[in-house]
Parts: sequence; structure tokens; C-alpha cells
Amino acid sequence: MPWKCPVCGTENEDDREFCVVCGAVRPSAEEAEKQEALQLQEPRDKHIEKVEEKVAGEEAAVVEAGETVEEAVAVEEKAGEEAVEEVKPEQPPAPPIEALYFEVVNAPAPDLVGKKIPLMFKVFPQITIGRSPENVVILPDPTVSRRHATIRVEDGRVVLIDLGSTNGTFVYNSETGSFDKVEKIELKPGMIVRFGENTIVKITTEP
Amino acid sequence: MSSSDYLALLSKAIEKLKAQEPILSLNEARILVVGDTHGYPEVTEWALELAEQLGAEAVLFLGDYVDRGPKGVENLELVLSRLLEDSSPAIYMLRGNHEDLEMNYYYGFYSEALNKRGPDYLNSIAELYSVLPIAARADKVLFVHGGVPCRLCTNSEEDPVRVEEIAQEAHVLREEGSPSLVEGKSSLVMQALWNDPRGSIEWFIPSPRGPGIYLYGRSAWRKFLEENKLELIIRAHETVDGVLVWHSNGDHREGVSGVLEFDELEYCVVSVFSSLYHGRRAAVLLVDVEEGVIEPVYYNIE
Repeated sequence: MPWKCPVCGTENEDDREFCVVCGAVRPSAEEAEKQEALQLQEPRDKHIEKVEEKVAGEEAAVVEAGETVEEAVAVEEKAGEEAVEEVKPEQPPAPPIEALYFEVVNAPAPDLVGKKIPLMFKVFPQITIGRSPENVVILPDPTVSRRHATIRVEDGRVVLIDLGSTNGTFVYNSETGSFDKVEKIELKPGMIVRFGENTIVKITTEP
Repeated sequence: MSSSDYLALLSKAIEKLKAQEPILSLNEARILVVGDTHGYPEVTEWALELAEQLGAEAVLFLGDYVDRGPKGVENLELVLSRLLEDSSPAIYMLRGNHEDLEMNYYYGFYSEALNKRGPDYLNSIAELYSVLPIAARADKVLFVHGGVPCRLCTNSEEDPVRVEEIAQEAHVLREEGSPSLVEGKSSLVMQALWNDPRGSIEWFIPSPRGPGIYLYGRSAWRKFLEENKLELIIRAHETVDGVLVWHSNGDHREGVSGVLEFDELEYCVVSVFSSLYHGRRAAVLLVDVEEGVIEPVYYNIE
């Protein structure tokens, strides 16, 4: 059965495990159903709203157990937002943040620019990044190595590790205004990362 | 035509361009804007015919006449000969990043011109590159090959560059001669020809295109436009599907068609691409400064 990419909306053939346009991983059947359910949901449906709140509560509990720093921060922010939102109870709660995203700033494939690629470290313990199709995130860039880098959660921190790539992994340094080569670094929202020479992504929490 | 005719064409064009300011002020209201044509004279010819059909008063080429495509010599000569005709519509030419001899070594035009026209021709080409205008202004619109240059060039706020500063630098480069900008030190002029817009960043980060070249973000182009009392940048330089609009909030739309009003384009950057080498659609833009509208026209669409 053909599947619709949750990131860029492309219809992909059944035998594809990654989106042919943006390289996003194919969602599982469960995820796809959940996605559809969320899209169909009407905010005024009180019952579903309650269920969502419950889900959000469970989310917070998981984070308290120390899953990732980013999520904890995100949930804290969310908690703050909810406190403000108490004045306007009609608004549905913000969806739980399950992942960071790569927002593509620059890529040799022009269609990728502006696209967001989810980093679902709850689904993949290792989010491998590279040029070849066996990676979780595929970057179509000749200067990116076949196996270029990986992202994983270590001691509650999301870290990016270069896998000895030919052209390197770099992080933008706002002090010097240039890109610094990195071997291993904690990923934080707002960071700008370059893989090889041409692919630049911004780390964001916004889907 | 004999080889001396080709050299005469170049030297007349150089004289005419030398008499123009490096930042043109256009008084025409209906301007047909052509992006990179890169060795495809068929698109240039189509654009020139289209300009007459649409009643355009001027045709403005944003540079990159040569390299990549097979007919750079023919394409450049077509534009130059129309520039010299002094008929309506008026022809204006800007310099692109490929009007650069160092680039031509790598991307084909150097050997093409050497084979088709000989070494003297290339000497005149070097002189031609030095006198090509860098940008053009018509009311609140700035036309330039690449876009917004920077001084400190970091991803935080800086004083925006003024168009007059680019003009001053361009005057100096004209005096000194600048057959290649990539060989020299980074300059506002070089950046104006090379930088690219990216809505997901705010200010400036280094561009993968090379040293001294930057990606400019949504805050950078807005500040630059505000400082210079401009509202819109129309540029070329990237292989987009015809016409791409970067909105002031950083979002973008590609393959845009239909009439767009200046009101909805305030603090936007519009890219137009007019070559066929990249296998995507070529387009030109009809800009009507009086009516305050732009309209993309796509090549080879019935």
C-alpha cells in the first residue's frame, strides 16, 4: 500500500522505507493511524481533549524519569504555556514533543530546502545520518559520507557523533561566525549543523 | 562576421556600459527581468520577443550569460548586440557571478570562447566584466544577481549595508579592473553577486559556495530593505523551478505563477531562473513598477 510522507506529504511506493523526496523514515502503521486521527480531531470534541491531556500527562511522567534533556525543557515550557492558557481554557493543549527536527537550511537537492526531518529518538535508538539508503536520515549530498554521523541519547542528553566522515561534521559558532569541526557534541535547539560541505540544518523543536 | 567584428562588438558594448552607473536607476515602468540564461540563447531570444509582445519598456538581464550551457558566446553576443541597438525596449545588463574569468576556467566559457573566438576576445571579455553594472533600482525594487551583503557576517544583528556603499566599491573595482571577483578579497560587490537567501536563518552564516560568501536570513534582508528604503529584492543565481518567493516570515513558495501585488511582496526576496541546463522550468518576470505588480512567465508553456 502506498504511504504518505508525514514530513513533506509525498506519496511513496510501498517498497520504499524512506521518503523519496525528503528522506524521512516511513511511519509505522500505528503512527500513520495516530497521525490521521490527530488530523481528524475537532478541538471542540471534549472527550478527545481529555484523552489528549491524559497522553500529555503520561509524557511528562516519562520525561521525569530522565529520558532527554530537550524533552524535559520542552515539557517545562509546555507547562508554562498551560499555566498561561488557564485563562483561555478553550484552547487545546499543545501536542507532546516527541522529537527534535532537522530544518534544512541548505542542500544540493533544492526541494529539501525548508523541509523538516523528524529525529525520533524514541523510535530509533540510533539515528544514523548519511548518503546511503540504509540510514534513518538520508542526505542526498555527494560530500556527505555513506555513513556520516549518528544521533543517540546518552545520559539524558541528545548527542551527535561524527562517524569518521570524509568531509566532516560542523557546528556553527556564533562567536566566530564560522563552522567548527566536531567529533561529538550535545544537540540543542537553535544549533546550526553542517554535514560535509553542502548540507546545513537547523535544530528545532517545532514540527 | 569576422573576428575583428566580434572584437568591435565587445569594445562598443564596453564603451556603452562604462557610461552607465554601476548601480543603475531605471525610469521605465514595465520591465521584463531575465535571470541566469547560461549559454541558452533560445531563452534569451524568447525573452526579447516576449518583451515586445507584452509591451515592456525595458529588458533587464540579471547576469550569468555564459558557462554551463553550450552557447555562451552566442548568448552573450546576442544580448550585447541588442544592448547596442538603442531601440525599444531598452536593454540593461547586470553582472552575474559567472561574469568572472576564474569561474569561466572551471565552468566552460573560457575554452568555448578560446575555441570559437580566440585569445584577443578573452582579453576584451575581461574588460567587459569589469564594467558591467552590479545592481539596478526601480522605485522600491532592487535587482541584483545574488542579494544582500554583510560586513561582520555572523548570525546576529549588524548595521545593514547601504546600496551607496556597494556603489562606491563598484566604482573602485571598475577603475582597478576586476576580471575575476573570486580571486580578490571578499567584498560587498562579490557578495552582492554570490550570496543566497535562506528564510530559516535570521542573519548571516557562511555559504557552502565558498569563502567570503554568505547565506542571508529573513532579518538580514528585511533590515537591508528598510535601511535602503526598498521593499523587494528580485534576484537570480539559484536553480529554482522558474520563480521562487521568499516571504518576510521566512517561508518560501516555488514555481509561483499568476500576478503578485507589491503589497503581498513587502520585504520579500524573489528568485527567477531562466536557463534550461538544470532540467527544470525556465521563467522570466514582468515587473510593473507603476501598477505595483510582478508576473512570472514560463518558457515553453502553451
